[in-house]
Amino acid sequence: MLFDVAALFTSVALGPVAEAFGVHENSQQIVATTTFDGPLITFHAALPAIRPDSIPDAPPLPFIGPEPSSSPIERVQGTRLLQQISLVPADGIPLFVQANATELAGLLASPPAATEVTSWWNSLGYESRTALRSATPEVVGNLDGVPYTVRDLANRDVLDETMAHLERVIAAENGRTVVENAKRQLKMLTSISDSLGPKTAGRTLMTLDVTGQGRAAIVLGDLRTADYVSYLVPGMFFTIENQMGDWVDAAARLYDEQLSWLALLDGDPDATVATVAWIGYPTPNLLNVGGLENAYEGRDSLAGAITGLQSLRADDEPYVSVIAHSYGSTAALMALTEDDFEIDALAMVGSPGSPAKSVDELHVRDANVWVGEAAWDPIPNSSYFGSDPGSEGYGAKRMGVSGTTDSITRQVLTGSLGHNEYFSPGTESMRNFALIGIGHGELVSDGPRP
Amino acid sequence: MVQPFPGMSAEQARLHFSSVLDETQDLVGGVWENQDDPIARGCLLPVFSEGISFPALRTSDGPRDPEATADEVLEAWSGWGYDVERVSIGSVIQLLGTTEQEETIIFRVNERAMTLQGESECRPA
Repeated sequence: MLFDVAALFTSVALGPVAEAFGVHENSQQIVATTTFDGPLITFHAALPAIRPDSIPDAPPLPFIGPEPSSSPIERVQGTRLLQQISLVPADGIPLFVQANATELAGLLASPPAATEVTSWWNSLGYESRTALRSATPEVVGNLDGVPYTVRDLANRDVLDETMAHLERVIAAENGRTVVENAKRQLKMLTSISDSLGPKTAGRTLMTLDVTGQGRAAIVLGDLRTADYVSYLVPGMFFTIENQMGDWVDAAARLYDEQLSWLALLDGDPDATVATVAWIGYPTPNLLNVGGLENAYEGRDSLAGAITGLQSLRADDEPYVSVIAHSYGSTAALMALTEDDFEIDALAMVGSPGSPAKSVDELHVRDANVWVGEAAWDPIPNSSYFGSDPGSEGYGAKRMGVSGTTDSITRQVLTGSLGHNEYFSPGTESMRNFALIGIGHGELVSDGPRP
Repeated sequence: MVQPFPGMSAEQARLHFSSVLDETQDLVGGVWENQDDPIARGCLLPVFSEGISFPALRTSDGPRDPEATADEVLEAWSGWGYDVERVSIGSVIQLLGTTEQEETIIFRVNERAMTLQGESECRPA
């Protein structure tokens, strides 16, 4: 809604503003020569302040997430926009944001490289950073390369303000459809808020999109310092509204498991972990689960998230793993095949297939790729989206998920059955995920050969 | 130890679970660090109704005799009504204790460390 109204004002005032800020697509002006006296003051008087309360109650716009193929030209435009922001005085940033709302929304759709964003953010003064976070929290909260503490603050602001706004909409009772839409959106955001918990719980809201199906990523641990970072990527039918809590619980269990194993195995007693409950893409539903459009978005979002981490931690890179379930594994495999970054380990369960034909095509160090398939899970071996990662020719290591055998009684122990039991507490799969995520693949229990 | 009972609340289940952890820690000795996640976790009650359980994670330095320590814990937990599964993963002995009400408790031990974790019985929120 903010972008909708801001875009209207931008289109009216774009003439003088474009000259002042060099926003024109075909502009040959060098930003360094742009000044902001005179036109800025005049323009400011022409624009009213925009607050959530003054925005008509319209259905939320679909999120402008990453395009399936962000072009180099679009990324250059994003870089140029960051450069322009750098030249705006802190007290001029709110006006700049209002005048360039469309371009800022485009920044998330085609973001510059995370390394560029990090350099840019570090070049800004404190007042400018504060002004940006206040004026455009949706962008600051989701731009890979911006520090996570800043993103958390921005996203929490958006979450709280949007929930308060929706409560007012519901209370106003202006039409059944409007109220029902607001209730549905509020339910989705409440699941995020409940999973996040109070600030004192130490969780970070790394990603937030309040519109449509929603996107969110909640972190346990500290991404700024964790030695081991694991991203949990969900698959089909996982919605923010209904499964955010479950996914954060899975991340929390993995966090506990990893700390337990680090205490027992690792030479460094101070080693720390972070786990990311990542629902950073629109997971497919019954109507679109047969296609790859959502996987493309997942590919781009996940690649952005990981390269953002590696950009911010360039001097102190953590051990990065991805634990991917179902359709999420297809998105992850695309990212690890097509994008220019590497991770340390990958574990997949319930995978419907991959465009890559073998682990040799994946950007995973030392071929640390595991695959697990629970009994009665119909999705593995389907090869619906390409090669089956569980096939012998793929080269992935088999990971046990069906329960090991008691060393004393020889009784088969707690295992996973079906497509959705891989992340339950006390299971062999959860233990193996933890060991993979902290670089102890040598202790991962074997799975059965096909 | 705080005893469980049918129909107990989530908070009462948490108190029982904590007391089991405390008793286990007292049994094996050592100085324990408490890293319990403060946020409850969701779970499913019959029939498909939502409940909550409370997690725990404690760590300590390893004992002199991990095998004997594991034996002690296994015997205690069995006596307290848990079904206990024992496995070895590398140098680590793991005990997994569960109840019919799906309380889960895991004890791991080797010469380097002991860890104690799990989740209380699922009860209505």
